[in-house]
Amino acid sequence: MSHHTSADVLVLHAVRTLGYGDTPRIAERVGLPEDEAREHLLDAQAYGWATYSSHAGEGGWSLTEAGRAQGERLLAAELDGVGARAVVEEVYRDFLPLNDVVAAACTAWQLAAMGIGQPTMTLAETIATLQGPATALAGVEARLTSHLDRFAGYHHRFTSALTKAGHEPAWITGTDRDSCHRVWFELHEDLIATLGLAR
Amino acid sequence: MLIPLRKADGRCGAKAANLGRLLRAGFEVPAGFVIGDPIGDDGWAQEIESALLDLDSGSFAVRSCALGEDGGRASFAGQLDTTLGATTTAQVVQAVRRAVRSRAGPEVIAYAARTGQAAGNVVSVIVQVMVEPEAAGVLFTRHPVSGADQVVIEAAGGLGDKVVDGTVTPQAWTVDGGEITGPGRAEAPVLTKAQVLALGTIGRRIEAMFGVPQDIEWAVADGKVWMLQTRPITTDPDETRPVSSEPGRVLLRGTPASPGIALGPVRIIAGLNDFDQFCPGDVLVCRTTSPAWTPLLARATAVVTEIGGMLAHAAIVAREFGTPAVLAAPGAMTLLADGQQVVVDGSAGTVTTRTNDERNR
Repeated sequence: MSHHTSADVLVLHAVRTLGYGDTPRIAERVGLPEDEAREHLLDAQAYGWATYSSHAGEGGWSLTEAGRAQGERLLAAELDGVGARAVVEEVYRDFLPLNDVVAAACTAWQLAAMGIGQPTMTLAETIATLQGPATALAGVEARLTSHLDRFAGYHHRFTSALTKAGHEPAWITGTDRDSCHRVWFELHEDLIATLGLAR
Repeated sequence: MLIPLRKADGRCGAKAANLGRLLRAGFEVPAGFVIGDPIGDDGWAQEIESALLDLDSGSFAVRSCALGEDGGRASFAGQLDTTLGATTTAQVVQAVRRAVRSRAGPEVIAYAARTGQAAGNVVSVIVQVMVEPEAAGVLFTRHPVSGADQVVIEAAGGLGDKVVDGTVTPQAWTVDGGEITGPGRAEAPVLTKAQVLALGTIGRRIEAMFGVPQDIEWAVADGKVWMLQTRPITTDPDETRPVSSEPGRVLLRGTPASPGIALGPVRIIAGLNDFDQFCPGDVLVCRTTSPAWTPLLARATAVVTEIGGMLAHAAIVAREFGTPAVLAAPGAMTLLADGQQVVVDGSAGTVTTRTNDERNR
């Protein structure tokens, strides 16, 4: 049976994978009412694990180094508790070649859009290239969620972004939305955090 | 029908045709053959055993090749249907079928429809002797970001797949005439100077043969330089000429990862706990970035990192914000000082001192 991560760990971990986000966004990511997410965030702040800062009028949460280390300790204990370390390590090895494809496609598309590099990379080609990793992501996610249900959602988010990209190219690499690159990079961060790897 | 790689032409798809052309011109390409029409004609399954025996190797690489593909970046899709290290006939047959399936799947048909090609395009599959490289990577006969007319070589030990992973910094060289720059780091270089020069020369010869700048995948195995793939880079030189930066003393060089030139004060950020020291307009200087750093990247005038490459998180996000970025600039966090005014040229890959002229602006 898949393990269900406790809400306090989910909230702390969401700050790690999102990198920076306000309370409503964190609450939405972990599927908790905003008040409950806020309680956990304030707890994390009290422990010195999370910090609230404002950038250009918009506030958001990010982790401290202590919070990052604490998160990795909790995730490692959970991973070993459910006996899934070998599986996640194997998934990570399979993830890396897909990551190459996604990073290269995002880069080629950005350079093409800027009129430098390789303008031969059209939007249609970029989307076609990202279809492969999108398809593979379903299998990656299934392997992860069979042990830890907190990994659910990446495939849906990635394919949603890819579908929208056909009409609005910002869904490929945009930083202001749940774009293909952002979703993919959050999964990368999630795997790195889960395995306690250094970037 | 099996076609020796040496005889491959346009009917086999661009990838195979380019390799065939390299072989005929005398370049080192791992021996192999092309299965011309594995969907329409199943005769290949009978011929393959003796063809593999003829190749006389313990291990094979199997790659698909779509006919509609021009050999350009669309072939990244091809990375997903590549099998490396198949050893038995049964494994090769299975790999060929997998490659065909991945090329004839619904996403490929949708792609064909979008690009106006007939769906159900014939697909060919390349089977080659697998080389076990000591080092492998990519080379561009023109700088892929700045457009400068120089050969750029990126390399890593072992199979070349790590080179495009943004979390590992490939060793990089540029060859400009007979002059080599790089790899610029203390660790042991994975290529000798002679190999770098040889790659530079081979790159130029291949470029001359095809008549346009090339993006080449290569590997070094058993002391030989092998060509694994070549495809055109089509850039407009007028658009890609870098804007030259004001003359100043060069403090650092790295990978030009996001174009543009910007001036600002250095802010060295060692980790999450330093984030509150960062001010909008600063030049962000750090080791590498993760999602937590995005708000800083958004407000930075320019970005300089110690590791990473063109495909790293910092590079992709910086381009998204139109922020000039220089990545893989070794020693950035120790060679630059907080508050120091610098000019970051994300097209040339340099960090220079501010000139008098700029100070008066």
